[in-house]
Amino acid sequence: MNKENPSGIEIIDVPEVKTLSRKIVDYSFTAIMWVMWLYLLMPLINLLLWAVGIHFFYNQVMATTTAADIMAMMSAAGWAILAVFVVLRVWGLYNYWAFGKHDRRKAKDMSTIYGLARFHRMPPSRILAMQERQEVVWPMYRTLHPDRDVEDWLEGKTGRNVTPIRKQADEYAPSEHQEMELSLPLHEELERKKAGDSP
Amino acid sequence: MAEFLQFLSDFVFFYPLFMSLVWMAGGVIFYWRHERRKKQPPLLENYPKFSIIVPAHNEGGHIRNTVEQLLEVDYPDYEIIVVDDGSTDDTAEIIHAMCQEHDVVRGAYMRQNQGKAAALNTACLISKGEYLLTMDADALLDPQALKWMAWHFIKFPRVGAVTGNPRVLNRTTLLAKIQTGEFATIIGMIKRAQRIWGKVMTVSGVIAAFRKEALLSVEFWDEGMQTEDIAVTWKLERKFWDVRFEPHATAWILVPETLKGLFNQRLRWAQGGIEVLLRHGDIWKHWNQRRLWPVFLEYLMSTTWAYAFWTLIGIWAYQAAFNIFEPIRFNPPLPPMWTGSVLAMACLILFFVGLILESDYDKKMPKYLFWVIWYPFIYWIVNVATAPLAVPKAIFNRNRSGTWISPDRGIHLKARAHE
Repeated sequence: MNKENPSGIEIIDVPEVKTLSRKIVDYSFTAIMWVMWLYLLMPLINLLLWAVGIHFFYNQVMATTTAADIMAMMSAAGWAILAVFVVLRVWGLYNYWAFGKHDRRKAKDMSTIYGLARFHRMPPSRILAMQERQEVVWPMYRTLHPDRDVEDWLEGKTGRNVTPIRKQADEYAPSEHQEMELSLPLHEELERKKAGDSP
Repeated sequence: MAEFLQFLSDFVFFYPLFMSLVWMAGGVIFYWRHERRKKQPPLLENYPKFSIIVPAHNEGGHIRNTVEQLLEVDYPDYEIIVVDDGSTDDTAEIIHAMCQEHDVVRGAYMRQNQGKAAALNTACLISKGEYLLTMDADALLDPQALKWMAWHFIKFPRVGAVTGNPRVLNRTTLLAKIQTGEFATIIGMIKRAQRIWGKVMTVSGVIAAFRKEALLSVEFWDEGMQTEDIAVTWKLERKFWDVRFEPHATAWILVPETLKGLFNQRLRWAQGGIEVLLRHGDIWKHWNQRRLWPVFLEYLMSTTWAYAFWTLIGIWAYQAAFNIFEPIRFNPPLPPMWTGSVLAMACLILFFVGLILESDYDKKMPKYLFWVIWYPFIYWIVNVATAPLAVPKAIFNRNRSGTWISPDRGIHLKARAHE
């Protein structure tokens, strides 16, 4: 476990793979940006210097702008922060009042098999069969022998024999009875569930 | 005219400042309410089966590593479905070999490259779990991530999706270091803030969990969109499914380390965002969609800001070139004096707030301080560069296949390939 990273995953930082030109660009660009940064912070640096008794601050800042300008900007920023907090809080409270206490969506204990079947227009049994297979080629050409489908496809792709597919989930195939049950329309399924007679 | 130009100038300067305040405020409120006390994932009475879906296209160099990390996940009942989306490298063979080695690994092979959304839809069809975790083929999942996500679904039936917290894995170049700062602070803070003021703009395609029932209700991922993650998020939220952000669920990702790679990635994101705005503009007609309004407005304003920035640059260049200063004189775009200081201080505060919020997940961040202290500028510059191109692409682009090409994943891989 890497102590600096709770996930224990090693960070990739390999400066040795950087070319000399890239190193030069990285360092120069960063140096330029730091200079710009310090330039932007100049008034604050002046302020610090002024605080310790060096009056360069007055010449650089007060002579070119006014204290009133600075106060106006600080005041505007303060009001903006307050407004952001208040608006976010009121908006959040209003929506909690409108939505939070009226959670109409309830947990359902129902599989999505039938919905998937309806959406993809295929029998639920076929979806169940696919869900039991370890490997699938999509779209399937050989629905009766999907394992051979995978082997054929991989062999066609790689040009050589592949390891045979392991026996797939005990060769899952729904019986005729299961097929009929699984193909029931959704409303019948729901009624059976309500009656406590789930398949 | 003069007033309008002054407003434009103020908008360009103050909008990033204002948004920094909003993100910080939202981030701090979220942290205080939802994050600070949680150190371990809440215990559940039962842990439902999760299907982890990893779509892959020409990922032969990463896929084994990704799946091996997934085998370390600390969760009682899960399967891993790796989808090969018509790769032309050895991805399919590696997946097949891993299926032979591990019972929990399953493979799905698309006969043709149809794009990430199609791969996700196929995996969803064959998945056994009623809850799905989708992740990128080059990302490494934190072993506790599933537990952090599962409890949202179990305790709150209205939760349709939970997005995780991507962290940057490769940090060799300056660009990667900048993105490290960006993901660790701005992106995480934006998601936290969006959760506070309403809805999140998007789940992260690199790590997101879904309730299958919710996906079914919105007819799954759209295969014609540039960014299937943004599209599915909006569809879920319009159907009143709750989409949450779980910062503890981390995934470590590879980011582009070339300008071209970064630009292409961000252009695609921007285009995806605009496509969603165009598709869901009618939310303003419906009061019950009001929680989506702030995030819509935010994205619209950011795009408008990019155009305003270019307009201002154009006027400034024109004035400088022709020495014409009517009806208003603009200063050069980089503001000196107090305005510049305020911007610089806002960047600093944003960085330190982000650092505090994310300190539990990435303790190495302070080490990168030297490189990333000014990264918020880059965030806005990238926005400026991509948004004006993304708008026409989203409006006029008729190529909606949604297929993908493997992006740039860092120079360490190129160096390895040359060895």
